[in-house]
Amino acid sequence: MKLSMHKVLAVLIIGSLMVIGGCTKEETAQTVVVYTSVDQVFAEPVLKDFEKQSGIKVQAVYDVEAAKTTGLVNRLIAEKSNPRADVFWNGEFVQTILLKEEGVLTPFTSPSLQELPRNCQDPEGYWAGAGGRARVILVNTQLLEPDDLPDSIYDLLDDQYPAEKIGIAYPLFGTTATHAAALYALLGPEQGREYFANLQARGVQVVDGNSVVRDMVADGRLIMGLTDTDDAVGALEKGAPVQIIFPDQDSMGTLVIPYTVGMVAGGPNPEAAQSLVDYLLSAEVEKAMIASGFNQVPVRSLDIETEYLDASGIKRLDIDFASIYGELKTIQEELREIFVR
Amino acid sequence: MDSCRRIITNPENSLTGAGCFLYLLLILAPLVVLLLQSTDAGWELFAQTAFPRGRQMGLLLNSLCLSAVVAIAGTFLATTTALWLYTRPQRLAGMIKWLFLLMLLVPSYIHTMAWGTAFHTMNMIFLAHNVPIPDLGGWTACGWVEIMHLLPVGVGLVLLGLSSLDSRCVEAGMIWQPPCLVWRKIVIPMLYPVMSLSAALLFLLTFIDYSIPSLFQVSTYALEIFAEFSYSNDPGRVIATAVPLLLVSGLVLVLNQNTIRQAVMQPGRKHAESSGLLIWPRKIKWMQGLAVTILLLQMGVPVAVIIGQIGEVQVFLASVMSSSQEIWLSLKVAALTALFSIIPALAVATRILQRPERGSWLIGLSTMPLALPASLTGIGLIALLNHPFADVVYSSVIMMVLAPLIRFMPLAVLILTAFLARINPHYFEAASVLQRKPGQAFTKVLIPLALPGMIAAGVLVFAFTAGELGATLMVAPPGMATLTMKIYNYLHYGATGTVASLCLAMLIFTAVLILLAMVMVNKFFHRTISFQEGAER
Repeated sequence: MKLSMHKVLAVLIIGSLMVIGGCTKEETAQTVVVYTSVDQVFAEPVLKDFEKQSGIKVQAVYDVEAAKTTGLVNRLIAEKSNPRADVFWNGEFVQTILLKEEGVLTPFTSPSLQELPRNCQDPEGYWAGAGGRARVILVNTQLLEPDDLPDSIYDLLDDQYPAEKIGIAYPLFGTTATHAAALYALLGPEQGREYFANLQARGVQVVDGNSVVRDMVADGRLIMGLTDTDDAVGALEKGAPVQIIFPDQDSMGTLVIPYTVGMVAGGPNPEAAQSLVDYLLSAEVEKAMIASGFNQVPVRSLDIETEYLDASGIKRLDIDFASIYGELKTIQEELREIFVR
Repeated sequence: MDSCRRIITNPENSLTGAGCFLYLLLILAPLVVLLLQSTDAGWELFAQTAFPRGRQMGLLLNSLCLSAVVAIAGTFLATTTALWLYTRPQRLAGMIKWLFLLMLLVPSYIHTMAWGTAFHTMNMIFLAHNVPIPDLGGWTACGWVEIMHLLPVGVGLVLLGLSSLDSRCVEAGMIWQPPCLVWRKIVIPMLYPVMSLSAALLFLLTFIDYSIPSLFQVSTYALEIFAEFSYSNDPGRVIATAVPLLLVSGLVLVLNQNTIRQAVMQPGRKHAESSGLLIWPRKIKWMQGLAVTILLLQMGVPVAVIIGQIGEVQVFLASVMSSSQEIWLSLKVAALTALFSIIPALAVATRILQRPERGSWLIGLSTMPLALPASLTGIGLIALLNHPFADVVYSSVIMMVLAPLIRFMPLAVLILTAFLARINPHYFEAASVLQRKPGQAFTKVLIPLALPGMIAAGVLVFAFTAGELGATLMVAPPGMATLTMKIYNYLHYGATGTVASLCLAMLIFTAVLILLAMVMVNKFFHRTISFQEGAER
């Protein structure tokens, strides 16, 4: 049969329409839409468990570190006039507070709030947090003697350690930005700025993300670096010759960053959203997140043992999350001047 | 080109006009909506942000230097490689050429991972043997990886130019002059327009890229745009910050407008005659070795790293099975984007050739999306379509097609313009005389003859769409994710075996599709050549 151009074109168009039609949203009994910056590897099993327990179908959008926080947060702000998401599940808290300030979130209540410490909840009820990742120093044990191990973030400025062998992620994005904001809030803007300016002046390696710091310490390109406990534990799980150090245990303490949950204002499925929020803030999920390796520091009393890291009893940085958020714009502006040049 | 204009009678003019309108609507509408919705601070702040000074000027200079080096070195290597491929036996060259172009699908982070590992190993070896060499990292590594990543683009363009090489000039030159003079005075000058186009494209693609530089700790202006987005969450300020990028990109296109027009509008020739006549001068025969080395490195290093990271077949199979949904969605999105890019791009290409005197501004306007940051495209689409009346579109795969469509249709325009200009104009003249109804010559002559170009353009758009992340992340409906999104998620987690498996899976599936396209192109191209040869006897 001779194929004419019209027939070929018609087949292509009809085929495309069928393919597109097959990819539209299906109508189900109950659905909840969650935007999450928690790594898909960790978040997906939790959301699937929720589906099984509740019968509510979860449609998730996962963020990627490569988007450098311009991804989901900006999408939520852009969609504010016609929200598509019901719940925002964030791996940290600063962007959640930002969304509250932008009017993207709505206050909620939950039974889990009674179990959570006050500093892991928004005073006005717009968000709450559980589980925690600590900002730690990861060292390569093949390149550093036990007596030479650092114990403070100020050791990154110590001439004892060659600057080109120390790494941090860009302090403009993610948890490194949160850590920078925390230092600004705790030490004051001048001392905070001075710390990072000295880091840059020394020539400390500034790399693309915490996972890059982890990989470079693990394979010996760096002797140490600042990263999160989930990345650090990942290196331990792979058998890398590394050790995790909770910095400043004798002074200011270690910053612990909980994951946070917020309900999107005007979301399409408010009842399902409430169920998911209750679930994500529950002790069951906090345990699961610690067991899976995303979090290492519980915020409530939990009977759980972790294989690679014992974070019980660590001294935490005592600072209000709202004041950390208050320094965010300052650090982004100042540290951009210092590090992006 | 005159024939192209003649064949486009009034009904076709309406069609190409409508196609152009659709094209410009797609690429400009999101940007216009963004500009209208941008910050209340007004034009004063826009003007302030749009003109870099101090540190930002330094970043802009970093980007310019890096892009210039990549453009020049990349074009030199691309030309060398393309010339070597061109002078091989056709069947062998055809296979290598398509395999090489397939490397477009290898994401930039795989090149980064592969070459980062290679440089680190070399550094350790040299250090261990006390060989004093500069550290292979930072700017050097960044520039090299950009070249390796974009080399297939340059090679493809130069091969296109070689297909226009006038064999009669080469033949006459070879009779009277030694090969080195023929190359210097005939071949290279004739290739100059495509080399310039290749340099311009490599420059632009490097200039807007932040992913490779950031992975090597090289600060460029593109990173500043992301920092601005993260800081202000204001698309208006981001557009303002992106203005220098747009201006420089526009300047590159304007400065090269004559050579670009020559490159894309050169008539096609028969391949077989020129390739056999080209003899490598003795003085530059070493460049053949360079070309082979480059080919082997560009293909071999990433593939070796991918296979090394996978380790076992079970890892590969498990990764593929668990990602079947993402693989299928990615192939669908890439195929739909390639398909829907053709008609508007063909309309624009036709218009460019219809009115050569206006071609430059149309080329410039139609290629503007190449300079826009990916996530801004996504934000623009959200601003345009996140309304109740557009629900059906907003919550469907159409959004995931629109985002890469806007970003990569300009590439299809360039390819199609080049192919259309190579079609023998006599067929149009005959068809316009003999057609029984208006439009018949267009559908029965122009479209079939342009089909190889349409397929080539589709393949390029397919390849770039398969690796697109920034814009897709902004518009993917909940519950839908492409393979690239999953790969980046697992990359952060450190599951390199899974990442490598999924990259290999993407390469394999796409290779099958491209092989099919190659068969179709060869079948139609040879039919076209035979038809042309028959008609001319």
